[in-house]
Amino acid sequence: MSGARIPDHPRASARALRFRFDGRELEGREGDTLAAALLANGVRLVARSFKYHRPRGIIGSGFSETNALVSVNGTPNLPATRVMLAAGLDVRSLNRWPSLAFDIGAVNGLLGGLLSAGFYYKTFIWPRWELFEAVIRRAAGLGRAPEGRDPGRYDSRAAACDVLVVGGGPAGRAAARSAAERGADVLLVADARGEPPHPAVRQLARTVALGVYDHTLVTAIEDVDAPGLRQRFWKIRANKIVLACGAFERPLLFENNDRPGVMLAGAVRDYIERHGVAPGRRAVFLVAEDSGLAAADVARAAGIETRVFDLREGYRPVRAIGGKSLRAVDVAGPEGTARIACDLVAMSGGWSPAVQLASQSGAGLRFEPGIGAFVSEHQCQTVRACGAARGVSGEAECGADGAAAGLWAAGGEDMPPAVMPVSAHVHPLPPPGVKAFVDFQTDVSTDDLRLATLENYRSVEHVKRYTVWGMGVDQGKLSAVNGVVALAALQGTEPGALGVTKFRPPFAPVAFGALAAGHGLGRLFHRWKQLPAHDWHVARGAEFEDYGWLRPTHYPLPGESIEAAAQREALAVRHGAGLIDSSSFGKIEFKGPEAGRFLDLMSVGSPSTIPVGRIRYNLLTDELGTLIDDGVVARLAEDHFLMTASSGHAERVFRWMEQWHQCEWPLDVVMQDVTGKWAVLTLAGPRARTVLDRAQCDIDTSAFPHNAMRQGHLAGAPVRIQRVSFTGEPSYEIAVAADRAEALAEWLMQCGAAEGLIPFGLEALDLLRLEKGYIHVGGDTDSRTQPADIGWGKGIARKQSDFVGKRSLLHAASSAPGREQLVGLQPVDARDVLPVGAHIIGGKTHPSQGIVTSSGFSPALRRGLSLALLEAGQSRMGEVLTVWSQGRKWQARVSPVCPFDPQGERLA
Amino acid sequence: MKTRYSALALLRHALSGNRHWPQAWRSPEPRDRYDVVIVGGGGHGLAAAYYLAKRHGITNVAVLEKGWIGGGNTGRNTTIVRSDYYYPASAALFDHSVSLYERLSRELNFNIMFSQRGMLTVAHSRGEVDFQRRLVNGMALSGVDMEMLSAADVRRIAPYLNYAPGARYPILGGMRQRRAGTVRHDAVVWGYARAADRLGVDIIQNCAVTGIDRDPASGVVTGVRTTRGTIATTKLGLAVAGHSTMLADMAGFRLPLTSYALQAFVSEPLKPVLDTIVSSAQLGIYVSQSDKGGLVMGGNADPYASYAQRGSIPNAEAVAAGLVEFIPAFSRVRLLRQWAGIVDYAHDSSPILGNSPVPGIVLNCGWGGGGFKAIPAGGEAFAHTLATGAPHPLARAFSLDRFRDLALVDEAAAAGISH
Amino acid sequence: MLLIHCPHCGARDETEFVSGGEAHLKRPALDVSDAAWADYLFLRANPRGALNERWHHLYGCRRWFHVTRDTVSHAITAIYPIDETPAGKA
Repeated sequence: MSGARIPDHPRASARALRFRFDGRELEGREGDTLAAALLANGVRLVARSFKYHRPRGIIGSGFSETNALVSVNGTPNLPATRVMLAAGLDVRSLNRWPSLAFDIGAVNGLLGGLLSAGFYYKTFIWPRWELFEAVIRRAAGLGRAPEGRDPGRYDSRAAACDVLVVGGGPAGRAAARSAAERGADVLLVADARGEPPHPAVRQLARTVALGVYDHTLVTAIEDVDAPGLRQRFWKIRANKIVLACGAFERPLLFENNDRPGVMLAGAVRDYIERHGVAPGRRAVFLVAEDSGLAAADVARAAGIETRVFDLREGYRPVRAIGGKSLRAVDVAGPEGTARIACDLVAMSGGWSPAVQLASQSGAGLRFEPGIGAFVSEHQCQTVRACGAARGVSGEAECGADGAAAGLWAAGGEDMPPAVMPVSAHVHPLPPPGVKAFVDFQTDVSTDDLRLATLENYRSVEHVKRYTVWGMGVDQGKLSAVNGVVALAALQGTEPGALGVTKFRPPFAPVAFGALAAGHGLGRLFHRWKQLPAHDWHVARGAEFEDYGWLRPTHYPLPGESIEAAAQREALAVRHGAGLIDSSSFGKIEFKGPEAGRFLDLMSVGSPSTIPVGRIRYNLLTDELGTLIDDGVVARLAEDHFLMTASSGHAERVFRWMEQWHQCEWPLDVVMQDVTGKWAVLTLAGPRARTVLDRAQCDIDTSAFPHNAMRQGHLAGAPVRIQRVSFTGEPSYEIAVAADRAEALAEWLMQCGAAEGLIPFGLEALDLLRLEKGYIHVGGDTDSRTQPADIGWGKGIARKQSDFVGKRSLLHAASSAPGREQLVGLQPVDARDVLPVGAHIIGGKTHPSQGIVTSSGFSPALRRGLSLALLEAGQSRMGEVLTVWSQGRKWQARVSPVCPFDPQGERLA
Repeated sequence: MKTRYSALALLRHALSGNRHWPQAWRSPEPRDRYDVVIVGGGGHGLAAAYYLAKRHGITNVAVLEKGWIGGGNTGRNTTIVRSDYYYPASAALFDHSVSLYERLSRELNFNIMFSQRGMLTVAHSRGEVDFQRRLVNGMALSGVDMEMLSAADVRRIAPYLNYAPGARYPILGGMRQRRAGTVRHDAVVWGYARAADRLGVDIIQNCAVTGIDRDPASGVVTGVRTTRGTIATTKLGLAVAGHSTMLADMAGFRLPLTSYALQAFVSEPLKPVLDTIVSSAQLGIYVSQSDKGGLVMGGNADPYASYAQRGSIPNAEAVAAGLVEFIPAFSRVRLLRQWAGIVDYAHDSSPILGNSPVPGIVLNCGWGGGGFKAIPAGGEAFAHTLATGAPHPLARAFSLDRFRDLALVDEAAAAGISH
Repeated sequence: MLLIHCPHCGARDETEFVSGGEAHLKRPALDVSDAAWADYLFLRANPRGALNERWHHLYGCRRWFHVTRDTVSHAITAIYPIDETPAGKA
């Protein structure tokens, strides 16, 4: 036990909390971080490194912790320094087998020379990489992936402010106070708890800023840890941002600088002062900067036996002695090298400003020799760094700098240049052949940087990728500057000339679940829509599927399969009457003197020539001439049209219309999407008219031909009825205000009981439309299908005027031989049903010459039927072709697309 | 000194303290003139240089890179290699590329770590199953190793996916290419660079092109102006992805391309959990696990033109939500890093590979989010045109003329999301 | 995340909008050559820098308008009505 509670510190009397580390029962205090509690229990060995499985302890006390990653209650890879202790935590070490103390993987350490940087690029080629890969994969990775559903919950919020201050240290608090005093609306994002620095400052405590995005948007994550909510993801829009993110202390480079017990001086001070925990009894401070001397004073005052070596006076650490815990350190100095027994080495290599967020905001980074690290240079008018984050040291100095930043943020004058020392102590590189770590977690040593340099991997990005320097969970917070300085020495250049690797968001790792909360999960991931009469369908026993809308596929009888239900329902429509909910069809109204002209410009046909009260089938193409939707256009009045669109295309079609109207042809027409306003119930079948007549409809059905539209009342409710058909049977599409849909459906069913009226679903509809050769654009057509390919060539030839897509349709490519064209396909064996997605094989240039796009067993014709896209299909009627899918073959005859009632006599 | 990489070489060098490894490639000063100059030191440019030297015997070649080689999309993508493309011309090109990748470690004597763990794309509705059948049959007829999977197959192969009864997108089946996998992206760059360098190619880093010179009379390209001086050449290859239109502007022609930011994401390292690539078009997500243990994922390109190599937050949120919806246990896995590359998309999301309107300038661009998987084949075809002036047989469908001819190869319509 | 000042609704996040790509393309008449038609369909300026583009406030007023946006910094320097060019009324 080398760590201990400091008796007179308030934490020593805080509430005790029991937790487990690798099964051992330990006790910490409320307010401890997990790291503090482990140190207080004398736990030194906490983790194993990524590659060599070297024993590792706790090196820091905050974000830069690179060694002490643990799993907590099944969540892997958490830095012990960032986990607040709670009663009952189940903490486990990672990446070791069979145990932390005895880890077989440590044998890798003996192979150090073989496992040099990038060794895997140079071997494992013969006989096959996969043979080696399996072993490497198992050895790599840190914690085990969590299993099961995440017990935590997350939510997301947005905020806006004049001034966002990131960082709750002296500079950040001063900046927030100073901006608030000048009347700015200030939001302070602070990692710690505590009172806001000014009553007018809004503060988000226990919150970490993660990223700076376009137009001064900052993301942040708040630890809530309330029952039912673990974290909250924030998106904060500010006019100005003050970055007071502090600085990271740098380790020193010497042999075995990774041994458990070698820590950062600032962290040692932090554990003593904040947590009342002494991380050791006999400490050696290796100090290259004044803050290290102050930390040593704190240690001494806490009763730790402390020796200090100031590197600026010619001392230099040579190596740490010890394995799983530290025993001594060799220090070279003017009087020679001495071995000093100790259980704690505190390193103070200087401070590197936390420039991550500044860099993300677009600021350049400049190497500042005075502090031996990079600082951000802010050109823009919206972001400034202050305090330790721009190289200022000393609490009072940081406070003053923060106040200046707050003044700037509140609209005052810009900040003065930062005051920094002239030159930092430059620490010599350890000699070749020793394990001195630059990046602890990923086991990158100075020798690895040497090798990369030797092999001409010189750009910092190449070195990073070749050696994995900076690729650990801490993303190089501890290693970036030491690595660049070492590389500059190796390459004989200046750190500033090399630069640093790009800092990417997030600043600290963030749970995908928290990020996902900003988007929505489950039903909120992508919303779906319910029909106005949804509950009525449920009551009728419908099964539903998601087509953007939840729509009934069929209304099965007890024990009935979907296929059997579809056959039964389709036959009922052919012989009697059926009711289907068509509410999801898009409905767009166009009104104005130039409505007809506008629709002509948007359509393959000419809606302007439709007589009032009549309806016409219509196609839409994009500028490439590709079919994007079909539907019908009804003319309600001289200046008033109603267009329907496929359910799945409705929103897109409306946007398409708006775009062309606003951007290209601002004609005198207004348009509105009325899809949700009207529910549509379609009566279809030879008895449909009788049902309608019984339903107290004031429209004279004897003078209501196919492709006509009437407005009137049905059971007292205003309705629009269109006589169009997607089934081949006489059909009445009855549109009624959406809130009356259920009542109308129930009423129609009552009126149709004597005619055998049944509700039918999409499966039956699909069979009925297949018998008629009615297409689904997007299913029976693809990204190359043009109107002529589905038999609409004549319509284009007739229409002389321009419309969207017309010029492309005049291109030679549109009449090239071999285009895929829509045909019917009838299996030679009538019992066969070709799978949708089967290909027609036997092509000349490629084995495939077409695809089956729709298929089913026709209840009316008692045979399999398909629609297909076939090369030059329209000229190949009667040919028998081979259809292939997944190794099976069928023979099928090319046939007209509409085998059932081809003259449409039933529609009369 | 040229060292052949091997376990033996590793041992030998380890014994001498790793102090004698040769440079992976030289950093020469640019010469005044080269037979061929390739702009863009990414995968396609370096591969083309290698094939020019290896297959065509043209070794007086320079590859100009404005930053560090592999610093563009080659070093930013999610490393997936696959050939599940629908249209025959695409399937032929990308499947050839997979075949070249399968042999590449040996050819280059550099382990590119092609991990053929397969790629599984799930289907969430009966309609999607039908659509996958169309794709799988078509690809199989083009010779691509595709298979359809039942819902039970998918569950066996990927038990960690979301099979909860109330899932927003239930899993009804899937399709898989077994030969698909991931490749260590930097290794492709370094492997080609090292091999090309050995054959005499000059790789010139930190060398940005500032102008392209043409003969005023004939219009033929005569050289490039760079930040490291003017370099004469009569064969100029452009392989600069998102920056292609800028180079075309310098040469006086235009390209039908728009540049977008495409994001990628990596998680903290985990012990092996995903042993195949899984993908869902509906959820807008694909994810694999690297050999280091990180979950590598991506989604759709940001929805507006951009040259900013950083991603937008809404897209990141959408990818995270897609991941959690797809694999609920990953909700508490943490995102380590997000970044973006600049990808150049043509209207049909297919590449442009062949001659440009300027005599002597050859194009390799328009790969969108799919360039990495095409590096060996794209480089080979690029080299072929640079060497012979004629389009490569596998690249004929991808000429610039296809736009005028309205002969597009619209893979976007046949694919879910870019990866 | 872009903050776009819709001329009708005020400043809103980019998630309410849809980009319509490069603005001020001139749609040719039917008698244009195949090559010129293909240019209209496919060629875009794709500048690295200031780009005039169309945006649509889809989840708002549903109006289209013009935006001048830098494709590197994403800074928006001008917003103007759909019937105007950067120089003023078309």
